[in-house]
Amino acid sequence: MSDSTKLELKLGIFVFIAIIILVVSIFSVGDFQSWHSGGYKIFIKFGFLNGVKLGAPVRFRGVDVGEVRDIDIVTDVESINSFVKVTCWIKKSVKVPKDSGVWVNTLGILGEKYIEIMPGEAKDVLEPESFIIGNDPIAMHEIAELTKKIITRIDTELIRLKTQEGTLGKLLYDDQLYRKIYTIIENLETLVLDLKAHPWKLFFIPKKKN
Amino acid sequence: MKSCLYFLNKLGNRFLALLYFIGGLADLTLHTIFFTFYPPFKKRAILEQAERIGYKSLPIVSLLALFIGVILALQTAVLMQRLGSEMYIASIVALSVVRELGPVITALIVAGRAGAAMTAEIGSMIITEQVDALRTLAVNPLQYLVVPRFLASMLMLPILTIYANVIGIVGGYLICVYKLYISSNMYISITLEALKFKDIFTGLVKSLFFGMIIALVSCFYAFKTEGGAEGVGRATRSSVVVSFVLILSADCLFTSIFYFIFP
Repeated sequence: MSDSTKLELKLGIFVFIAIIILVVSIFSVGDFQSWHSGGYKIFIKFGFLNGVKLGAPVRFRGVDVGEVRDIDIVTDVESINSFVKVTCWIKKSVKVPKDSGVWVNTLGILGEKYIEIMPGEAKDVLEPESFIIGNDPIAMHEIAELTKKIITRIDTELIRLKTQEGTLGKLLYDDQLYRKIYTIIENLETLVLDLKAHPWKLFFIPKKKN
Repeated sequence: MKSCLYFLNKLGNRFLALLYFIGGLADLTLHTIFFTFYPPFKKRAILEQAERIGYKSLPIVSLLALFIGVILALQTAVLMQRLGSEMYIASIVALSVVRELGPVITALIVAGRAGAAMTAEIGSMIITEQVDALRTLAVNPLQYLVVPRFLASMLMLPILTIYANVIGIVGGYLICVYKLYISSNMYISITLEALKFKDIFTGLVKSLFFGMIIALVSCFYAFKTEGGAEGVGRATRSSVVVSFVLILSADCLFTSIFYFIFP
């Protein structure tokens, strides 16, 4: 073999292996697999989306079966009411019942959002390109507001306790009440001891004076 | 006052030198691109350069890519183990190697290895007046010397980068599977899931431009060689330093383009 063909052979092998690696890796990386396998689109209607991103995974019974392809805000011209229309791509083999529940859920430590579909009982399957209504996630500010409300309520109750308002406040802080209860318990104790020592006293009926 | 004037004079000279450099490099780039499409085509010379730049750089590129993969896995493991999420090591290694470290490390190695050799070779041809001899034979030195190096370097860099990417990921795999006991299948599936077509594509586009930068800067400094052996040394040093600076600034530019304009 002459030197010139040897050089070409070496370079040929070098480039050929690289191209094979490139082709194999392009066909096996994440987003290519979804391009060639079949699927269909469904639309999900949300009132609030809590920051789901394009390309977020869609899970059916906890298994990744698709992704979010498009997020639109659809506004009704007359009433100015708007909602969020999320277009999801789902694998062809997955059949979603019509009464399935759809939620926005959080994944992992980094807090990525994804869409969770839990199937319902219905026998009819969601057609491609049809709408399903999602359950709105609770916004962080709503949770914060609710917590604030609960805490202010507890706080006012605690203040009332401190200022000895109400029965519980008196019970906790009124010394006099405590002393009275203490004497009552002491008296009760002597009574019980007395009864134990002389049980016949229970049946003792003083004679009525005529 | 005098020192102030001296300083301004120095600054102005530096700025002029920078403008001369940019102009000269742009001129060389345009001529090289023009002569690339202008017959006669030197197929033999291109193949020889491709062997020198690509094939012979493969061992050192592989070795360093392996080290990079191992280092990345170990360094991220320190943090990820504290968070209890070792699974993310695979995606961090894959993304940083494919998007950034593979292309850049390959370009730096080739600039240091093949680029310096190019400058020294053409530079000594210049000081021994071999290039003038070419001109008297009516051979265009740009077409005879620069175009094959330009084409070979531009085409070989992406191919070396593909090897570097795979070997870097293998380095991360070795650490994760044999040291951190993540299952082999899981590492592979997380890697493939984390990578997108765009990551591979942008990395290869970057390395294509790095290849052009290496060949053009090396040839530019070679043609500016003056004096004797010392001049060749100076030209080689400048070509390596400027290649490094231009590669990293081009990388910064591309990364911001891909980040801001095509997210």
